[in-house]
Amino acid sequence: MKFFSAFFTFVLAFAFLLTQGCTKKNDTILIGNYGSMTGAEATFGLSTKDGITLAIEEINVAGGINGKKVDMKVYDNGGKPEEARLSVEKLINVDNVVAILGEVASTRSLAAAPVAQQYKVPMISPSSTNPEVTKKGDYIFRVCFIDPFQGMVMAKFAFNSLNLKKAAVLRDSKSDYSMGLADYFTKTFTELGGTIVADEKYQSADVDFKAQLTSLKTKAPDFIFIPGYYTEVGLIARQARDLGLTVPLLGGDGWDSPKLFEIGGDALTNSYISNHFAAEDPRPEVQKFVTSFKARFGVEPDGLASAGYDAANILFEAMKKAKSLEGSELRTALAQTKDFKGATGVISLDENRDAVKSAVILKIESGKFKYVETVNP
Amino acid sequence: MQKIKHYLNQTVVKIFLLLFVSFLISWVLSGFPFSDQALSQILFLKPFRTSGLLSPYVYSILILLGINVMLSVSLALLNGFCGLFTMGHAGFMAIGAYSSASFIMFAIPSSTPLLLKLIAAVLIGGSMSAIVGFVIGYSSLRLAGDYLGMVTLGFGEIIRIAILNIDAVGGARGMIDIPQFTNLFSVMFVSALIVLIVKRIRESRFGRTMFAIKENEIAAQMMGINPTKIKVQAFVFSSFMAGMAGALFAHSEGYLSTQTFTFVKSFEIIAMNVIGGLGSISGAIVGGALLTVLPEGFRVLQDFTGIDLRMIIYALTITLIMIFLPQGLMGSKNGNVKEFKWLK
Repeated sequence: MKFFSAFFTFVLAFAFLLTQGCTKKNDTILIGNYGSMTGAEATFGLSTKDGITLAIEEINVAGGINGKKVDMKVYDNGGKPEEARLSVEKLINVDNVVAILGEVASTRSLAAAPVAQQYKVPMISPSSTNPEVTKKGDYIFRVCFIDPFQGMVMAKFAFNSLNLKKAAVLRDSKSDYSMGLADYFTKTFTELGGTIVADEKYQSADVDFKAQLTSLKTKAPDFIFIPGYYTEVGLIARQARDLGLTVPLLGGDGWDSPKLFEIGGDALTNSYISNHFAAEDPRPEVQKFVTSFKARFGVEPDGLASAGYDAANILFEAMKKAKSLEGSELRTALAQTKDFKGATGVISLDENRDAVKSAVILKIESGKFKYVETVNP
Repeated sequence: MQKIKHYLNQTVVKIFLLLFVSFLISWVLSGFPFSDQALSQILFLKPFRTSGLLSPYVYSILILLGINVMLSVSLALLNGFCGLFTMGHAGFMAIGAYSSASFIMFAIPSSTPLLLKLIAAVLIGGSMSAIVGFVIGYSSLRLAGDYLGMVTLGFGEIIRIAILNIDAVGGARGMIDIPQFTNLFSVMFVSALIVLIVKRIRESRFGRTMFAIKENEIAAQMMGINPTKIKVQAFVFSSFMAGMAGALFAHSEGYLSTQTFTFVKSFEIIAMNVIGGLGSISGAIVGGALLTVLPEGFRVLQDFTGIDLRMIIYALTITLIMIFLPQGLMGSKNGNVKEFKWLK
């Protein structure tokens, strides 16, 4: 009995594996998407998938690409890098997709990118911001800005729009993201003519920031730049206000979470962040996307959904221009993307296959993000 | 005839047999290549697979299957034989993976032959992990049962977070561009070797003392067994094997991130043991294979259901197995475990 059950499970398992070989052949263009639909970061994958789904539906209604309809295969990786790699291997070898969209998290993009590069299938990451991702090869693209860019944007915004000249930086020494942002911010801000009066460090998972904040206060900065993640930022904001620091706080997209307001509360009022996307942005592309997304899914799109939407549309644009859907032709067409008007901004791809695009500045007012302006690179 | 049988039972002969059989299987699965180049690719390891009887996707699953079987069997030694309920096995795997990857990338010249690299990687990964296993085993000796579980869970997380904070291995971004040279042949051979070793351990005096400690520690002490020594030994052996699995994992993925080695991975390894049947080697093998193949295999269902029900069906399958076979696939109601004939 036991041997039978074990034998049975093995047969079942391998029967599954053998069925992996068959593919459907039809006259649609199949693209692949992999993401974390389950696990701790499930919202990342689901939002992105919704954005891509909307783009596909729109292009199919408009007649498809050169008369062919677009179809998508989605695989979940549960937030695990090794499953991300496996699902890309399946998309390429079993489903024969012409291009791949994904992943949100840089770790999973890094795990899967070498596979796409090896089989020469173009891969577009909607929102992986780590600079290493597109360095994996010339078939790997991204449609979001990389981490350091936000530091530059915030420096320009603070100096030109807010007209503040004395900056203090409070950075997370344990995070690549934070260090990158802080370095670029410092560089751009001093080049513009501003002064950095203080540069303090903390470590992620710290809860007490009084020492750093007190030392910042003595330098009397006009504002504090905190390129960190929402948990620490919320606490920092509270403690800063307790100490009587009322200057504006500035940050990056790491702040973008509903949790930020739970932790920081009213202390965050009068703060500014840079982000990929704002639903209130008056540009017609944004408003069209927001209306159709709401009509289709019943909720307001977030930044990840709009990045997924843009990634898919950039891919379709390249497919229309490419001579064929061969990997190398598609890659060439993708690399030539210029001034594409998407929901997250006007996107051009540079020689490193990274997006050069505008960022939006949001202001925090009574527990909500309010659109302020768009900053161009 | 008798003589041949006796001869075949020698361990050294068995190891060579394993080597030959795993080579034969990988040769068949690669589509019977005859050229020198193809043969040396199987023997001396090649990163990506292009042609053969299997699609590269299935090939990758089989490699992961072999690695999971190693982890599961190595945990069976601790959990099943010695009764030490540990929940930090992913930590040992992480140590093996990261130490071998850093050794290959930073310590030896890249022109070293692949076979030497593989042997070095597996040994370095195993021994680094064994050293950590010794420390953890020694320091948590006074604990038993749930308490040991908690402490090892903590150690596993400590290892993961420590790695997360080392910039040289990539920290949160992960370790990139690790040379890939694990292939089906090497994974199959090492996992078969581990099964053989664990089987021999179980039959040895060491194995019997482990079972004695599991059943009744005080009675075992009365018989002149030193439980401290045996337990630490069990930890060292088990973590050595988990480290080897980690090393092979690192060089098959080419990328390491601490997201892989969370406590979820530890629980997955425990689940492999429990589903297969605690204390049974064949159970560990079956469980390891099943829990690797099922989540991937269920992706096919998406074509029929339209939406992704993979994780629900996967969880349901495991629940059903535990309801109808509470002792695991290879366990039986009277508490004994069954083994495949060749494992007895």
